Amino acid sequence: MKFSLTKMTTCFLLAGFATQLLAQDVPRLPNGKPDMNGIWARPYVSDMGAAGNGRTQTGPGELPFTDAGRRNFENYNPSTGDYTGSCMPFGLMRAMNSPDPIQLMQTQTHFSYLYEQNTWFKVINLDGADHSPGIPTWFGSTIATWEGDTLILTTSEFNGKTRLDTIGHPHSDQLTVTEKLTRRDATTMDYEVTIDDPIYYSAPWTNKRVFTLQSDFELIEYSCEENNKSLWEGRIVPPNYDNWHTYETAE
Amino acid sequence: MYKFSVTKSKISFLLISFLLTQAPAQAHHSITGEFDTEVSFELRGTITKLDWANPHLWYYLDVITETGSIEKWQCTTGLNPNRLIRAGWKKTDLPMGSIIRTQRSNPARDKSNTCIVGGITLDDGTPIFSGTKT
Repeated sequence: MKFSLTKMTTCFLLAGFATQLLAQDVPRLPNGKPDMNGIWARPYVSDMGAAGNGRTQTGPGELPFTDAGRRNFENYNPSTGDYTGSCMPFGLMRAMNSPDPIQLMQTQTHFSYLYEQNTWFKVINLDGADHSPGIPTWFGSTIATWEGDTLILTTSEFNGKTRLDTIGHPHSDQLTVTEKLTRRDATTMDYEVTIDDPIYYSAPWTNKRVFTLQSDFELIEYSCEENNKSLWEGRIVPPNYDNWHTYETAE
Repeated sequence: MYKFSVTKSKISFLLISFLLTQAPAQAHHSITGEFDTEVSFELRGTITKLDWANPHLWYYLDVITETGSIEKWQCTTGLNPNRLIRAGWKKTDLPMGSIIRTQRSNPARDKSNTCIVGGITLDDGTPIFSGTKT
């Protein structure tokens, strides 16, 4: 087989040129970081473990449960206590999984998730330091770093009172969530999230999605509590956190 | 006058034709705790009230039974008004007094006259609050 240095060189140059073109589609802040501001549509992910459609959402297909994780998941029954149906805080992953639009609001010092879902928000300092209040919370505490043009958000100190997704994959208060956001071009954002919870999963696992910019959207107020008839009329039961185990250990 | 519509007693008879329905998509929480998604039926009735509020829309129907009595039903949907507003819909697009048919309805587990629907149509089959309003 003949080796064509000329052809290979041409290919590399073209690839580099294409990369430059794509990078130019990404707006940037004055500090040179990719500008992720905007309202983004994202896929509804009810099952983070599912393989997905391979386009807007790709999951691992099967989750590496520990024995405790499998027991917890198999015993999940929302009819005995439904925190999202009760309009309690969804926690980070349920909020990221929801079907409603999200606004990313970014300055050179802070990055915020503004969720239309229940009109929640999460503000993250971009200085790379740990700004934890020292208590576990529903949405956790986040440290932000950059790896090239990818924003990496590492979140821990969850209170363990939520689940990862609608079908009930569990997580404990030992969960660490690592999100990677990369604006690919003018209208597309790659979102990759890794779940690391040694209590319920024997290894970290990853789910990938694609967000799409919705330049004609504005967020609309969403009050989950304003007409939650299902809760008021007793068909949804609030969770009993007096008996809530944030994690179980393997027997 | 309105034709006979499916009543609760009829629903139990129709259980022979189980449909494993796909739960109405994109509710903010799991619906299986509240509704029996193994059972599917349709209702036909007169809309008397519409809750255009979060977290989900609620339709209130007067359903005429075989005996001519009225059964009052309340049915919700996975939709919230925010998504409908973006799709161009308004609450007034469904006038009170309209006859509607519910699609892929699942009953509440508490046996009340409550259901969740996959969608609704007008009596002539025209979908409403579905897709983008044209």
